[in-house]
Amino acid sequence: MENQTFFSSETAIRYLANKFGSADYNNWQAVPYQYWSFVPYGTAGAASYTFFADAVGTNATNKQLTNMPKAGSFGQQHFLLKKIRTGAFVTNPEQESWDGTDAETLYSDYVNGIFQAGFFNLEIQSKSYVNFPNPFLYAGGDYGADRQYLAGIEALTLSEAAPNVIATYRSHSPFASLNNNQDQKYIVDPNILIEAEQNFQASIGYPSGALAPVATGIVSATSLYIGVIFEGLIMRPVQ
Amino acid sequence: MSNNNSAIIQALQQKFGSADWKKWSMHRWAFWDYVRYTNAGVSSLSFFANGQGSTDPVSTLAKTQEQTNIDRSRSFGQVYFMLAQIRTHIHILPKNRQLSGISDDANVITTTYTDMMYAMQRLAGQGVLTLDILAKNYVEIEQPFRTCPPGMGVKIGQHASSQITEAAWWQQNPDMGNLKNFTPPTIIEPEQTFDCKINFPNANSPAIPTVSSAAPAVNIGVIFEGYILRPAQ
Repeated sequence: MENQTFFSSETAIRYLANKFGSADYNNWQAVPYQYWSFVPYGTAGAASYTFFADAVGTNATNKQLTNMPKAGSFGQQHFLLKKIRTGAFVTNPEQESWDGTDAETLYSDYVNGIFQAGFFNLEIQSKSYVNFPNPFLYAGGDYGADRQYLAGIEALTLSEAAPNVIATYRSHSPFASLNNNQDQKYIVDPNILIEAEQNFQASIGYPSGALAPVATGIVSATSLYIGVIFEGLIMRPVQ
Repeated sequence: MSNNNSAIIQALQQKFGSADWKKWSMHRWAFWDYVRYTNAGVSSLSFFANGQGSTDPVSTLAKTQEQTNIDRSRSFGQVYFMLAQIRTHIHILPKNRQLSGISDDANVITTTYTDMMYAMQRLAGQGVLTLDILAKNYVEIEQPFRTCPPGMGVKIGQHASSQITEAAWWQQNPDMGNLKNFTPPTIIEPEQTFDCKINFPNANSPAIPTVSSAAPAVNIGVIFEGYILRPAQ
């Protein structure tokens, strides 16, 4: 091996990176990618929920909840943000156990509960770039949400009379989801480039007051998760 | 050394300024304002009149960012705003933000909201939205709740009933594909004042019936969608 003389650390690193580096910083690739972050909603609500604040594996997160490489940053790669959507999932919607009350179906929260409030804010280096109201409505999911079709009576009691009259009646259970049409996603226009190691914060706020779920029979401390999904392109050096 | 004030300010801005007025960035942006509906019906609703922190005259509550994201009355402040879309939103407040009577009704959603839903439907067929910029009219739209739908909402598979009569649910058109677009867009310049109203010239807007002996809380929102242009920082 020939002797090499370096007059600065930078020259030495560049030489070593060129010769032995695991990434080629002169060639970059763009890959369609999505980053997601889900957090438990809880039973009492909160004034604000922050997303992308934990790297996967920290603070009890796993790949179902987030795929962030780093807290509040995409690490050593650039990310071109093209679309934003929100999402939610509940571990068990208990659709079959509806008893006629608002507390026993997540439908209540879809039409008149936690999904009908709040505002979304995205700050990059503490400056706001995206801001919209009612985030679960404004930037609906695109999960290809399942559909449920029901008909008929769930419960009926008659009172003895001549003829008998209906005393109580309960139809099939109600069902709703976030609007899952493809075009419901929030299109970031023009796209925003979040650069490597740039710090950002995405949040859904409820400044008018923490909002407890209506579906108290379904939602426990860790059964309902709300999330924000960023879709776009990652740009990383070729390896 | 300069004795010219504007030259001094320019020199200071270039050296120490927190904004670069020679470079501008453009972003998609929404400005929104929700006002509380008077349940007896109204002849007119004014939007963007009360900024964040000021009091909604009907609910008497301080407005937060859930109701509006403007800081001042009838102006967007120091940014240009290119108005490309107008959405309206009849927003029934979440059950847990309703008065007691509604919030503690065990099955209000599948029973006693029904008559209110029919009132909402009546409201949707009325009104004229106007937008004046510096007292000059730029927009006039009839039946704004239908012509300028919110383009947001949930997907309802089926409603249900917990009572022996019918139970209804109603929402405005939730699909993005039906939004009202403005071509060409209108630019509202920094510090320009504007006035946005929904008037009900035919008669007062519909009254909303009580639900479980309580007055339902309903907000009416107008959302301006478009682009802000602001100096780089």
